[in-house]
Amino acid sequence: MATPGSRRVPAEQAATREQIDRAVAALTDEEVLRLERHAAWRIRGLGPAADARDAEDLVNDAFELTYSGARSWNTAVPFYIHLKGVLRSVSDHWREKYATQLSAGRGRLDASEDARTAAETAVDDPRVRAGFQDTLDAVYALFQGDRVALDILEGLAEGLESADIRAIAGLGQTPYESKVRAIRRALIDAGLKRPTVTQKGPGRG
Amino acid sequence: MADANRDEQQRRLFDALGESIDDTSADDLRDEIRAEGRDPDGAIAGVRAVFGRIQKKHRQAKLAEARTTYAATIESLKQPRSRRIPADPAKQRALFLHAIQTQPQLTARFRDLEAISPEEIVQILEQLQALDLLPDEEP
Repeated sequence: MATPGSRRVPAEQAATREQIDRAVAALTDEEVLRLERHAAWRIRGLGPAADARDAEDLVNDAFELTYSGARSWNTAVPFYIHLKGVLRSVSDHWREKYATQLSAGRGRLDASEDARTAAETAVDDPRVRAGFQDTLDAVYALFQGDRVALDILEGLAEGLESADIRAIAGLGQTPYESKVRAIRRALIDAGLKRPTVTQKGPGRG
Repeated sequence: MADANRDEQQRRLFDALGESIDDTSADDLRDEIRAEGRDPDGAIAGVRAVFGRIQKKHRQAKLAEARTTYAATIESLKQPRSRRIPADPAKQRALFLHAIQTQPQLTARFRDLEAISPEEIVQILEQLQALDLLPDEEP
Protein backbone atom coordinates (compact mmCIF):
# COMPACT_ATOMS: atom_id res chain seq x y z
CA MET A 1 0.00 0.00 0.00
CA ALA A 2 1.21 3.49 -0.71
CA THR A 3 1.96 5.59 2.32
CA PRO A 4 0.34 8.96 1.74
CA GLY A 5 1.80 11.74 3.76
CA SER A 6 4.39 9.53 5.40
CA ARG A 7 6.25 11.32 8.11
CA ARG A 8 9.14 10.18 10.18
CA VAL A 9 8.24 9.74 13.81
CA PRO A 10 11.10 9.52 16.33
CA ALA A 11 11.55 5.83 17.16
CA GLU A 12 11.05 6.43 20.86
CA GLN A 13 7.73 8.12 20.17
CA ALA A 14 6.38 5.69 17.56
CA ALA A 15 3.61 3.58 19.04
CA THR A 16 3.88 -0.18 19.32
CA ARG A 17 1.00 -2.40 18.26
CA GLU A 18 0.15 -2.90 21.92
CA GLN A 19 -0.07 0.84 22.45
CA ILE A 20 -2.32 1.17 19.41
CA ASP A 21 -4.51 -1.67 20.69
CA ARG A 22 -4.90 0.13 23.99
CA ALA A 23 -5.61 3.44 22.27
CA VAL A 24 -8.29 1.87 20.09
CA ALA A 25 -9.91 0.28 23.12
CA ALA A 26 -9.82 3.64 24.88
CA LEU A 27 -11.54 5.56 22.07
CA THR A 28 -14.92 6.68 23.29
CA ASP A 29 -18.06 6.23 21.24
CA GLU A 30 -18.13 9.98 20.76
CA GLU A 31 -14.59 10.00 19.35
CA VAL A 32 -15.43 7.10 17.05
CA LEU A 33 -18.56 8.95 15.99
CA ARG A 34 -16.49 12.05 15.16
CA LEU A 35 -13.96 9.98 13.21
CA GLU A 36 -16.80 8.48 11.19
CA ARG A 37 -18.13 11.99 10.50
CA HIS A 38 -14.69 13.21 9.43
CA ALA A 39 -14.33 10.24 7.10
CA ALA A 40 -17.83 10.70 5.67
CA TRP A 41 -17.21 14.40 5.17
CA ARG A 42 -13.94 13.76 3.37
CA ILE A 43 -15.69 11.33 1.05
CA ARG A 44 -18.20 14.06 0.21
CA GLY A 45 -15.37 16.51 -0.38
CA LEU A 46 -13.69 14.11 -2.76
CA GLY A 47 -16.69 14.17 -5.05
CA PRO A 48 -15.99 12.00 -8.10
CA ALA A 49 -12.48 11.34 -6.80
CA ALA A 50 -14.03 9.13 -4.10
CA ASP A 51 -14.63 6.71 -6.95
CA ALA A 52 -17.28 4.64 -5.14
CA ARG A 53 -15.28 4.44 -1.94
CA ASP A 54 -17.13 5.20 1.28
CA ALA A 55 -16.25 6.39 4.78
CA GLU A 56 -15.52 2.85 5.92
CA ASP A 57 -12.97 2.43 3.12
CA LEU A 58 -11.26 5.62 4.24
CA VAL A 59 -11.18 4.55 7.89
CA ASN A 60 -9.89 1.18 6.77
CA ASP A 61 -6.94 2.62 4.84
CA ALA A 62 -6.10 5.14 7.55
CA PHE A 63 -6.06 2.54 10.30
CA GLU A 64 -4.22 -0.01 8.15
CA LEU A 65 -1.46 2.53 7.51
CA THR A 66 -1.30 3.27 11.23
CA TYR A 67 -1.35 -0.33 12.39
CA SER A 68 1.17 -1.50 9.80
CA GLY A 69 3.54 1.28 10.86
CA ALA A 70 3.50 2.94 7.45
CA ARG A 71 2.04 5.99 9.17
CA SER A 72 3.36 5.63 12.66
CA TRP A 73 1.38 7.11 15.49
CA ASN A 74 3.48 9.55 17.47
CA THR A 75 2.30 8.87 21.00
CA ALA A 76 2.91 12.51 21.89
CA VAL A 77 -0.19 13.22 19.80
CA PRO A 78 -3.67 12.08 20.90
CA PHE A 79 -4.70 9.00 18.95
CA TYR A 80 -7.90 10.64 17.76
CA ILE A 81 -5.94 13.57 16.31
CA HIS A 82 -3.53 11.17 14.63
CA LEU A 83 -6.32 9.21 12.94
CA LYS A 84 -8.01 12.41 11.85
CA GLY A 85 -4.76 13.49 10.21
CA VAL A 86 -4.32 10.19 8.42
CA LEU A 87 -7.91 10.35 7.14
CA ARG A 88 -6.98 13.66 5.61
CA SER A 89 -3.73 12.51 4.03
CA VAL A 90 -5.32 9.37 2.59
CA SER A 91 -8.19 11.34 1.06
CA ASP A 92 -5.73 13.91 -0.34
CA HIS A 93 -3.78 11.01 -1.82
CA TRP A 94 -6.92 9.61 -3.47
CA ARG A 95 -7.71 13.04 -4.87
CA GLU A 96 -4.25 13.42 -6.39
CA LYS A 97 -4.36 9.92 -7.77
CA TYR A 98 -7.76 10.40 -9.34
CA ALA A 99 -6.70 13.63 -11.02
CA THR A 100 -3.55 11.98 -12.30
CA GLN A 101 -5.32 8.93 -13.65
CA LEU A 102 -8.10 10.88 -15.25
CA SER A 103 -5.68 13.23 -16.88
CA ALA A 104 -3.41 10.46 -18.04
CA GLY A 105 -6.39 8.41 -19.20
CA ARG A 106 -4.87 5.24 -17.96
CA GLY A 107 -5.16 2.80 -15.16
CA ARG A 108 -3.34 2.36 -11.96
CA LEU A 109 -0.46 4.59 -11.03
CA ASP A 110 1.58 4.42 -7.92
CA ALA A 111 1.97 7.49 -5.76
CA SER A 112 5.43 8.11 -7.07
CA GLU A 113 7.03 11.47 -7.51
CA ASP A 114 6.14 11.26 -11.19
CA ALA A 115 2.50 10.76 -10.31
CA ARG A 116 2.55 13.68 -7.90
CA THR A 117 4.05 15.93 -10.54
CA ALA A 118 1.40 14.81 -12.98
CA ALA A 119 -1.30 15.54 -10.41
CA GLU A 120 -0.17 19.12 -10.15
CA THR A 121 -0.78 19.66 -13.81
CA ALA A 122 -3.81 17.39 -14.13
CA VAL A 123 -6.20 20.16 -13.13
CA ASP A 124 -5.67 21.65 -16.57
CA ASP A 125 -7.56 18.67 -17.92
CA PRO A 126 -11.18 19.70 -18.64
CA ARG A 127 -12.51 16.37 -17.44
CA VAL A 128 -10.82 16.84 -14.09
CA ARG A 129 -11.98 20.44 -13.87
CA ALA A 130 -15.54 19.38 -14.60
CA GLY A 131 -15.70 17.04 -11.63
CA PHE A 132 -14.41 19.58 -9.14
CA GLN A 133 -16.28 22.51 -10.67
CA ASP A 134 -19.60 20.68 -10.50
CA THR A 135 -19.14 20.18 -6.79
CA LEU A 136 -18.27 23.80 -6.06
CA ASP A 137 -21.08 25.09 -8.26
CA ALA A 138 -23.54 22.81 -6.49
CA VAL A 139 -22.39 24.15 -3.13
CA TYR A 140 -22.67 27.79 -4.16
CA ALA A 141 -26.05 27.20 -5.82
CA LEU A 142 -27.41 25.75 -2.62
CA PHE A 143 -26.77 28.98 -0.74
CA GLN A 144 -27.81 31.38 -3.44
CA GLY A 145 -29.54 34.30 -1.73
CA ASP A 146 -27.75 33.73 1.58
CA ARG A 147 -25.08 36.43 1.40
CA VAL A 148 -23.49 35.52 4.73
CA ALA A 149 -23.18 31.87 3.76
CA LEU A 150 -21.68 32.80 0.40
CA ASP A 151 -19.17 35.14 2.06
CA ILE A 152 -18.11 32.31 4.33
CA LEU A 153 -17.97 29.74 1.54
CA GLU A 154 -15.96 32.00 -0.74
CA GLY A 155 -13.64 32.98 2.08
CA LEU A 156 -13.01 29.38 3.09
CA ALA A 157 -12.48 28.35 -0.54
CA GLU A 158 -9.94 31.14 -0.91
CA GLY A 159 -8.15 29.98 2.23
CA LEU A 160 -8.87 33.13 4.25
CA GLU A 161 -8.46 33.14 8.01
CA SER A 162 -11.70 32.97 9.98
CA ALA A 163 -11.05 36.44 11.42
CA ASP A 164 -10.93 37.88 7.90
CA ILE A 165 -14.07 36.02 6.87
CA ARG A 166 -15.88 37.21 9.98
CA ALA A 167 -14.91 40.77 9.14
CA ILE A 168 -16.23 40.38 5.60
CA ALA A 169 -19.42 38.68 6.72
CA GLY A 170 -19.87 40.95 9.73
CA LEU A 171 -20.11 38.09 12.19
CA GLY A 172 -18.80 37.54 15.69
CA GLN A 173 -16.94 34.35 16.60
CA THR A 174 -19.90 32.40 17.94
CA PRO A 175 -22.39 33.29 15.18
CA TYR A 176 -19.66 32.51 12.65
CA GLU A 177 -19.04 29.06 14.10
CA SER A 178 -22.78 28.40 14.24
CA LYS A 179 -23.14 29.43 10.63
CA VAL A 180 -20.28 27.17 9.53
CA ARG A 181 -21.91 24.25 11.30
CA ALA A 182 -25.23 25.14 9.69
CA ILE A 183 -23.64 25.27 6.25
CA ARG A 184 -22.08 21.86 6.68
CA ARG A 185 -25.37 20.44 7.90
CA ALA A 186 -27.26 22.04 5.02
CA LEU A 187 -24.89 20.38 2.58
CA ILE A 188 -25.55 17.03 4.19
CA ASP A 189 -29.31 17.57 4.21
CA ALA A 190 -29.13 18.58 0.55
CA GLY A 191 -27.79 15.12 -0.12
CA LEU A 192 -24.53 16.28 -1.56
CA LYS A 193 -23.18 12.78 -1.34
CA ARG A 194 -22.05 12.49 -4.88
CA PRO A 195 -21.76 15.66 -6.92
CA THR A 196 -22.95 15.50 -10.49
CA VAL A 197 -20.22 14.10 -12.62
CA THR A 198 -20.02 14.15 -16.36
CA GLN A 199 -17.23 11.65 -16.58
CA LYS A 200 -16.91 8.16 -15.21
CA GLY A 201 -13.92 7.78 -12.92
CA PRO A 202 -10.75 6.17 -14.19
CA GLY A 203 -11.03 3.23 -11.84
CA ARG A 204 -9.55 2.76 -8.46
CA GLY A 205 -5.82 2.35 -8.13
CA MET B 1 -11.22 32.67 -10.38
CA ALA B 2 -9.07 30.47 -12.56
CA ASP B 3 -10.48 27.03 -13.34
CA ALA B 4 -7.14 25.47 -12.52
CA ASN B 5 -7.71 26.44 -8.89
CA ARG B 6 -11.18 24.91 -8.57
CA ASP B 7 -10.04 21.63 -7.14
CA GLU B 8 -7.84 23.39 -4.63
CA GLN B 9 -10.73 25.67 -3.64
CA GLN B 10 -12.99 22.69 -3.19
CA ARG B 11 -10.38 20.95 -1.07
CA ARG B 12 -9.89 24.01 1.12
CA LEU B 13 -13.63 24.54 1.48
CA PHE B 14 -14.36 20.99 2.56
CA ASP B 15 -11.31 20.91 4.85
CA ALA B 16 -12.45 24.07 6.60
CA LEU B 17 -16.09 23.02 6.91
CA GLY B 18 -14.93 19.62 8.16
CA GLU B 19 -13.12 21.25 11.06
CA SER B 20 -16.49 22.25 12.43
CA ILE B 21 -17.19 18.58 13.13
CA ASP B 22 -15.12 18.88 16.29
CA ASP B 23 -17.23 21.85 17.39
CA THR B 24 -20.52 20.07 16.71
CA SER B 25 -22.30 18.32 19.55
CA ALA B 26 -22.46 14.54 19.54
CA ASP B 27 -26.25 14.75 19.42
CA ASP B 28 -26.13 16.86 16.27
CA LEU B 29 -23.63 14.46 14.69
CA ARG B 30 -25.92 11.54 15.49
CA ASP B 31 -28.74 13.50 13.93
CA GLU B 32 -26.67 13.97 10.77
CA ILE B 33 -26.24 10.23 10.45
CA ARG B 34 -29.96 9.69 10.90
CA ALA B 35 -30.54 12.29 8.19
CA GLU B 36 -28.44 10.10 5.92
CA GLY B 37 -30.81 7.25 6.67
CA ARG B 38 -28.39 5.39 8.89
CA ASP B 39 -28.24 4.36 12.52
CA PRO B 40 -25.60 6.29 14.54
CA ASP B 41 -24.80 3.35 16.78
CA GLY B 42 -24.47 1.17 13.71
CA ALA B 43 -22.05 3.69 12.21
CA ILE B 44 -19.94 3.63 15.39
CA ALA B 45 -20.01 -0.15 15.42
CA GLY B 46 -18.97 -0.15 11.77
CA VAL B 47 -15.84 1.89 12.49
CA ARG B 48 -14.96 -0.29 15.47
CA ALA B 49 -15.44 -3.35 13.27
CA VAL B 50 -12.92 -1.93 10.78
CA PHE B 51 -10.39 -1.50 13.59
CA GLY B 52 -11.08 -5.02 14.80
CA ARG B 53 -10.68 -6.61 11.37
CA ILE B 54 -7.31 -4.97 10.81
CA GLN B 55 -6.07 -5.85 14.30
CA LYS B 56 -7.14 -9.46 13.78
CA LYS B 57 -5.51 -9.63 10.35
CA HIS B 58 -2.20 -8.43 11.72
CA ARG B 59 -2.39 -10.72 14.76
CA GLN B 60 -2.98 -13.69 12.49
CA ALA B 61 -0.09 -12.65 10.26
CA LYS B 62 2.16 -12.40 13.31
CA LEU B 63 1.03 -15.81 14.50
CA ALA B 64 1.65 -17.33 11.07
CA GLU B 65 5.13 -15.80 11.06
CA ALA B 66 5.85 -17.24 14.50
CA ARG B 67 4.66 -20.65 13.34
CA THR B 68 6.92 -20.46 10.29
CA THR B 69 9.90 -19.50 12.45
CA TYR B 70 9.12 -22.31 14.89
CA ALA B 71 8.86 -24.85 12.09
CA ALA B 72 12.16 -23.65 10.61
CA THR B 73 13.83 -23.95 14.01
CA ILE B 74 12.53 -27.47 14.52
CA GLU B 75 13.69 -28.40 11.04
CA SER B 76 17.15 -27.01 11.68
CA LEU B 77 17.39 -29.02 14.90
CA LYS B 78 16.69 -32.16 12.90
CA GLN B 79 19.58 -31.47 10.59
CA PRO B 80 22.86 -33.34 11.30
CA ARG B 81 25.36 -31.18 13.11
CA SER B 82 28.07 -29.82 10.91
CA ARG B 83 30.63 -30.32 13.65
CA ARG B 84 31.36 -34.00 14.12
CA ILE B 85 33.04 -35.66 17.06
CA PRO B 86 36.31 -37.12 15.83
CA ALA B 87 36.95 -40.82 16.24
CA ASP B 88 40.53 -40.41 17.40
CA PRO B 89 40.74 -40.12 21.25
CA ALA B 90 43.58 -37.60 21.01
CA LYS B 91 41.50 -35.41 18.71
CA GLN B 92 38.52 -35.90 21.01
CA ARG B 93 40.53 -34.64 23.96
CA ALA B 94 41.83 -31.71 21.89
CA LEU B 95 38.29 -30.81 20.85
CA PHE B 96 37.10 -31.13 24.44
CA LEU B 97 39.87 -28.81 25.68
CA HIS B 98 39.11 -26.35 22.89
CA ALA B 99 35.39 -26.46 23.71
CA ILE B 100 35.82 -25.64 27.37
CA GLN B 101 38.31 -22.89 26.56
CA THR B 102 35.77 -21.22 24.27
CA GLN B 103 32.92 -21.76 26.74
CA PRO B 104 33.93 -19.99 29.97
CA GLN B 105 30.92 -21.34 31.82
CA LEU B 106 32.25 -24.88 31.27
CA THR B 107 35.78 -24.21 32.45
CA ALA B 108 34.83 -24.09 36.10
CA ARG B 109 33.15 -27.48 35.90
CA PHE B 110 36.27 -29.29 34.69
CA ARG B 111 39.13 -28.23 36.91
CA ASP B 112 41.06 -31.53 36.87
CA LEU B 113 41.17 -32.04 33.13
CA GLU B 114 43.75 -34.83 33.19
CA ALA B 115 41.50 -36.95 35.40
CA ILE B 116 38.70 -37.10 32.89
CA SER B 117 38.64 -40.44 31.12
CA PRO B 118 38.37 -40.78 27.31
CA GLU B 119 34.87 -42.27 27.79
CA GLU B 120 33.77 -39.28 29.82
CA ILE B 121 35.18 -36.95 27.18
CA VAL B 122 33.08 -38.63 24.49
CA GLN B 123 29.96 -38.33 26.67
CA ILE B 124 30.66 -34.66 27.33
CA LEU B 125 31.31 -33.99 23.64
CA GLU B 126 28.01 -35.69 22.75
CA GLN B 127 26.19 -33.52 25.28
CA LEU B 128 27.86 -30.38 23.95
CA GLN B 129 26.97 -31.42 20.42
CA ALA B 130 23.32 -31.90 21.38
CA LEU B 131 23.35 -28.42 22.88
CA ASP B 132 25.09 -27.06 19.79
CA LEU B 133 27.97 -25.88 21.95
CA LEU B 134 30.81 -27.49 20.02
CA PRO B 135 33.07 -24.84 18.53
CA ASP B 136 32.88 -24.51 14.75
CA GLU B 137 36.56 -23.91 14.23
CA GLU B 138 39.27 -26.52 14.58
CA PRO B 139 41.22 -26.61 17.87
